[in-house]
Amino acid sequence: MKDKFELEALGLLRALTGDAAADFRPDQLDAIHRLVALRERVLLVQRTGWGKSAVYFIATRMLRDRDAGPTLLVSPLLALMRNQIEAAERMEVRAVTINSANRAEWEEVEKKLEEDMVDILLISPERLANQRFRNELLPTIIGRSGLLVIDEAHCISDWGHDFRPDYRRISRVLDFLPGVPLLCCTATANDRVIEDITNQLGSGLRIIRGPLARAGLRLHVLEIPSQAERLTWLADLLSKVEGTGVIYCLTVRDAQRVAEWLTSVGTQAVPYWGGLDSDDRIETEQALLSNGIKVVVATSALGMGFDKPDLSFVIHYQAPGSPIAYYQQVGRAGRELDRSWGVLLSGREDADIQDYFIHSAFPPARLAERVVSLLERRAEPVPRDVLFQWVNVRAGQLENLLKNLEVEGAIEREGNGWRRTLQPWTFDRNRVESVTAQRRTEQTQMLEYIRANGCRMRLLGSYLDDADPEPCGMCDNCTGQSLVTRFDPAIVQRAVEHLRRVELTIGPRKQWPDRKRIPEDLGLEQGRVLAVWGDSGWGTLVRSGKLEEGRFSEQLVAAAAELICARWTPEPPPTWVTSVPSLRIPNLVQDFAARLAESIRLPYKNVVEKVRDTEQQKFMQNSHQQYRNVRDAFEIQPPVPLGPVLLVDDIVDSKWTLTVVGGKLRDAGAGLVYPFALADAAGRTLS
Amino acid sequence: MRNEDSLATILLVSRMHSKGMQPLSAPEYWKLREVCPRPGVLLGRTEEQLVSDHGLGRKLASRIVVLLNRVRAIAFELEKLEHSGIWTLTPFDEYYSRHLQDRLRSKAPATVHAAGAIELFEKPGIGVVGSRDVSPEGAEVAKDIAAKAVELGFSLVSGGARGVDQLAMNAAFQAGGNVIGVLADSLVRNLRNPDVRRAIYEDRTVMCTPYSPETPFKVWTAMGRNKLIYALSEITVVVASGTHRGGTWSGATEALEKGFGRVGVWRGPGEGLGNNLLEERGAQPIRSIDELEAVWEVGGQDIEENSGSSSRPEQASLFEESALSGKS
Repeated sequence: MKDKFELEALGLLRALTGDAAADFRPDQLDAIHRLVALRERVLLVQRTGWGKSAVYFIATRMLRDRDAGPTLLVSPLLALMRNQIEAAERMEVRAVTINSANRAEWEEVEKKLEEDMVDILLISPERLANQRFRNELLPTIIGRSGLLVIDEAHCISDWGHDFRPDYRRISRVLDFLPGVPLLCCTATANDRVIEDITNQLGSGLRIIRGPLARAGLRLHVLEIPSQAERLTWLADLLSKVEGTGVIYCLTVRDAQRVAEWLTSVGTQAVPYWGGLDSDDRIETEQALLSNGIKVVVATSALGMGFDKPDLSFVIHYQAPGSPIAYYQQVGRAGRELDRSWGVLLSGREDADIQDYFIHSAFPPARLAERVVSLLERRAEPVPRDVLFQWVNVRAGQLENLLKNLEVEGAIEREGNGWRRTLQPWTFDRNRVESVTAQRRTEQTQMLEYIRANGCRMRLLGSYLDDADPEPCGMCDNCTGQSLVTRFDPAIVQRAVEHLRRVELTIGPRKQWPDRKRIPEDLGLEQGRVLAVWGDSGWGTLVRSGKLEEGRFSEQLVAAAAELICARWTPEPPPTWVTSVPSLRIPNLVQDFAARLAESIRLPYKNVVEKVRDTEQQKFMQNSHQQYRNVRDAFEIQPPVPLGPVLLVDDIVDSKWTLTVVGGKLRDAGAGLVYPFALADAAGRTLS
Repeated sequence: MRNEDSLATILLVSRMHSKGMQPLSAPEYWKLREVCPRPGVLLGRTEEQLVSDHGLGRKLASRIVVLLNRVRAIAFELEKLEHSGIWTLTPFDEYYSRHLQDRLRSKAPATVHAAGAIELFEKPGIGVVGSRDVSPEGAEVAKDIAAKAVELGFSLVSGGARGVDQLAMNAAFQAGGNVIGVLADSLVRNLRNPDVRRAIYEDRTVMCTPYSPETPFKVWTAMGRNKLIYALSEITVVVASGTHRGGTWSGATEALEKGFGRVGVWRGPGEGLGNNLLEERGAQPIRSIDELEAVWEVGGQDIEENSGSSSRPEQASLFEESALSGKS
């Protein structure tokens, strides 16, 4: 016998699903009851596809019918919730979203909110942190008490693999919201993360938790140390596997490289990373959703909220840093398919990249303390640009530092700048140490997963603290079948060449560090780089040439000549060659540039002189510091030939050396300046 | 999670996000507390329930429902303030000074916003007040009283206005003492003052206001602020007052009439025209700096040994002259 509450909820579920025979999972009804009737705080840990959205849509309808204000839903990815919004409309839940992409609709949305015509407002955590939004829209929107939903709630925990500072702010706001119904959802949380969320949100949190392990997912692991062989394996698999999928890489560069490779061997593949325009990202997501492309090669930026129930495969080109991060990504495969593939390829470079991420997760104590004390001495907010002049850090590192300090309450954003808050602060060494230790443990667990002999799904389930996970019967270890193939040597050779040929462009800088435009007649033309420093392909040869032999090999001269004459062919072509001198290894670059000039039949002229020793640019971490380091270090020795010039350097990092020397060359009367470097040092930055 | 009574208090009285609403005044709030000692129980109640279960009038009940309903908007605001280092204290919070409730009674502010060393509210302080346009002798007296207060282990309590307030606060700070600034307007703006920020980082200063942190200056806010100085101080010394006019006069006479706190009045070189009248109305006369110790009579107990003047000979100013809040 169903009670009145249950009948009401069930009616809504059936309207929502469009299925007159639909029934609740037991936990769904329990969660709805706790939110609506008891106004409790609920943490719902259930696998993707379990039906968490049904809980908050139905709870919203029922609360609204009981005179509550609109539901506020915070989710990191809103662009893809369109399907859910449509579903909500079937049970007369009116959903709207406010994000940076629909600014034009804000006024209308606001009006609807004022007229109480909205039942659920979907919003990103970043939007919630926006000052204008908070001052102008927030009061009307959420002035009335109602349900609060925090999607992907594991982002609150800094033990989680995906901690987001904006979520920490939300958890602090929740501190001021006793007695308001709250639903936190996640599909990836183990005991430790749940405990951390509970600690932050208070003990009143009711945890409703189901098994996270997935059925129907065939987990495989292949250790293939060499990138060329991994590319070969991918080409082979993608020519055979049906359906669409995602390939995850650890770095942006790898995502681009893999996508280019697959495209070159005839598979439609599109790269995807966080730095892309949101329009491009949405377009790629939509193309994959509608099966317009076979595979997206992505970094972890393709993450939460991406929901394609019929994804046939998720392949990892490199191993992520933790089993939970791995589970979250591989779990996207085949949620509504009977069978799908989750293949982890493990390569030689995995550990280095993971180490880099662990190492760079927290700013060094000294740097944090320096920034705080510098800000403390200024009463006015300090813009980012000024901070760069104070401290020698890379842009990404500074962003990371500022976010961390904001989370800890040491600083706050005001307008375009940052200011010290009035809260006391000390660098939290314990937090850094314990989180770092946790990351190391996870790294070990990942290795354990790769080397495991038992059921892989059961092992993942145990990392997620599932109770009594069962063997899946379909992973490589359960079935004894492996996806190992023989590598076709011809394809491997092509892959090696592909890896060597990822020449990169040098985009000319357009502004001096003070944001003043570089005049056109002093700027560089677009240039080229042969390789990535130390990378497979030519990068290894560049490194050994510089560090071991003290001379760049003939192979590199030939490769550079081939790149310049066969693939680059700048127009109008350079008529002479010069190089950037170094005081540290005096003849290295001149010697190479002269040989290169000879091989492309141009005269070599030594016109650039280094008049002051500099620090190595790689130790200068941002534009201001890099520019300051080199701006007075070079002089031009006339006479300077008039025509366009090829300006050769061994390693390009910030481009400031090339920009400064190029500007002086042009000032001295040279024609267009085409920069060329053997290697891009930016291999240090990984994403 | 935050104390529900404290949160409900803030929701009932705060003027933040109160467009179209009528937040409770202090007397209304304290009257409500008589029938409902724990306002947290009001959260989530309907108008009907407030009328039937708590015996509230219909009009008040409907006001309260609207005020409590803005909980989400206020929560975001409180988080932002707290992140900046501005605490919102209510009678349910540890650091809300007991003196406010005991001495101001139905006039006690239901919320106080404060930044800095809020633990100073639990330590005894001496108030020093006076007019903005103070004579050179009066200025010296203000500074001497402040230095003496520090020497005896008191915090210095004052209003942060130009003139006597700032002179006394600076002198106390320079002598190595603690300072409580009770501001009549725009706490947020005052906290942008570099000297104030430095003082807060040194953990020897708290700045507070009974108004919203961004309230602009009005005459009535200055009056509302004065009673807090009297209530927070063991005794408040009026250095120089006008007669029958000006904030110092009104504040002192109000404190005397309503018993908001002990009032002392300077009777010596630099005094104002109104000082003798204040003595007539019951303020305790102080004729020399040396008398202070006896007048304050708190001698020792509850007062921490002050680390003051000798160990910190060269303190920076707390305020650049006229940098703070000074409206003339």
